[in-house]
Formats: sequence, C-alpha cells, structure tokens
Amino acid sequence: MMPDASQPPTRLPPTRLREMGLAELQAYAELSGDRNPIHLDREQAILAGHPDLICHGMLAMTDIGGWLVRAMAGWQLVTLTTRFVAPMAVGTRLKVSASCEAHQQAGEPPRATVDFTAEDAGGVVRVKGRARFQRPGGIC
Amino acid sequence: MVRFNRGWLALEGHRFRPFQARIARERVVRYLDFLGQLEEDAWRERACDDIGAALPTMPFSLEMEAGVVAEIAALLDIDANRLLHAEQSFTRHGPLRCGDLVAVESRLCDVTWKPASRVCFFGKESRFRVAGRLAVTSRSLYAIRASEEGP
Repeated sequence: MMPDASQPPTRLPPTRLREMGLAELQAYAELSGDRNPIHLDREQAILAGHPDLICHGMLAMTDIGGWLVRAMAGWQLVTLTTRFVAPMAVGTRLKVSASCEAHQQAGEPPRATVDFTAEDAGGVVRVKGRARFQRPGGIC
Repeated sequence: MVRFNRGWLALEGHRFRPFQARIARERVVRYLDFLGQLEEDAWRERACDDIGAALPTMPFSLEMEAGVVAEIAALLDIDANRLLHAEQSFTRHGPLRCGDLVAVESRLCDVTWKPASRVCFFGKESRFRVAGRLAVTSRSLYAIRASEEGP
C-alpha cells in the first residue's frame, strides 16, 4: 500500500517475511559479518544452551526494516527499535503486523510512529518493535 | 552455564576501541540484493545517497566486521556464543552515503544484573560519524544467562 503524500496509513497490511533457513543464515552471516557460531554451528549452539541453531535477530530486523521503509514510502525513517523477544529456530517465517499513528505539532514536520509485532507460524511473538518516521527535510 | 562475575558491573563506561570503516557501494548493492530490492535502479541510487533510508540496520555490519562481539566477549572473559542479542535500535541523524569513511565510537553504557531471572544485561551505545558529523547512533542490548556468583 502506498501512503498518501501527507498522511501515513493507519494500519500496514500484514506481511510474511522470508523463511529463515540455513542458507539464509549463512548468507546473512557473510553479508553482515555476524558469524556468531550459535547461528552457524549446531554443536556450538547446543554447547551454548540452545536446542539447535538459532536465527540472527538482526536478520529479522533487517527484513522488517526493509519492509517498513517500502511500506512507508515517502516518509523518512528516523528511529528503528527492535526487541528480540524469543529465539527463533531455523526455518522460522515471521508474519509482521503493524499499526501506525500520525502526529504533528505546530512548526514541525509531520511524524508517524509504527508499532510492529512479528509472530512465527504458531502465533508466538518473536520480535516486537517501534519505528519513527517523519516527512523528509525535517532533520540534517 | 557461565557464572555471574560481579566485576562485570565495574565495566560500565568502558570505551571500545574506535575504528573507521568505508561504506563500499558494492556492499550496499549486496544488501539490497539480499533484501530483493535490486530491481529498481532509482531505489539503488537513493540507497547509495542515504543508506539509512533503505538499509537502517547496515551500520551494525560495520561493527560486526570490526569484531565488536569478540571484543565484548573478551572484555567479559566469556565465549562469544554466550552473548544473546536482546534489543537493537538505530537513530538516523543524517545521511550515510556510499563511499563515506565512518568513524565509530562505542561504549558500554550500562550493566545490569537481574538475580531473579539470572540474566546480566549489557547496553552498548555507538556513534557513527562522517567527517565529524553525527550520522547514526545505535544501542545494542546483549544478555548473558548466568548462574549466581561463586563463593
């Protein structure tokens, strides 16, 4: 959904992110430099107390960030905050839901706050967060 | 399980080794490709002119490549695989562009031990500057599950 030029959408349509399989974890590790063995080496993950490999929280955040900036086209992302609520097993595919609230104060550019929640296929919340946007030209 | 070390609390305020990193266009393009956003030339050009608008998490990778996690683990004297990433935030103060040389300074801003849940939290704040101009700040919260301190 493309928002109108002056008002953000009140609700972003839910979206499903990519499945975070082993190939995606390996690709993200290479891309980001996050080569913590809990994401790549099953033996090390188990030694660290996990039942198996776990996904990079930052992979989910990167995908959520990519989706948000597309969904809020025309708005400038100012702050993106994410809480990794629970570890994600390899193969997790998140469904993200988000709501958006607009704000404007006199003499300031329009702003919007997006609150989002990402659940796995079982409905368990794995990631939560908030993003703040404003119309371009208000900072720098 | 790692044992809680009361000495961790004294690390609050620790400044990590500053470093500089160049934002390579090729890397930005690979990020966009990973996100499936390489198909639009205009999007790619906008991203290279203001990376934060398209790839808000990319500054994290500069820290990863510089070995920040290994540095935290060494500071705490634990294996890196014991560090859990609990929270992350980025705030854009200005654009980061392809080709920029970014100076990164980080410090351990808070250390909190929660004995009831046996988790120690470590908050790290980072500043990303280009030619002295603040472009991005970030906050990372790491957690370690630990047993009570030994005798």
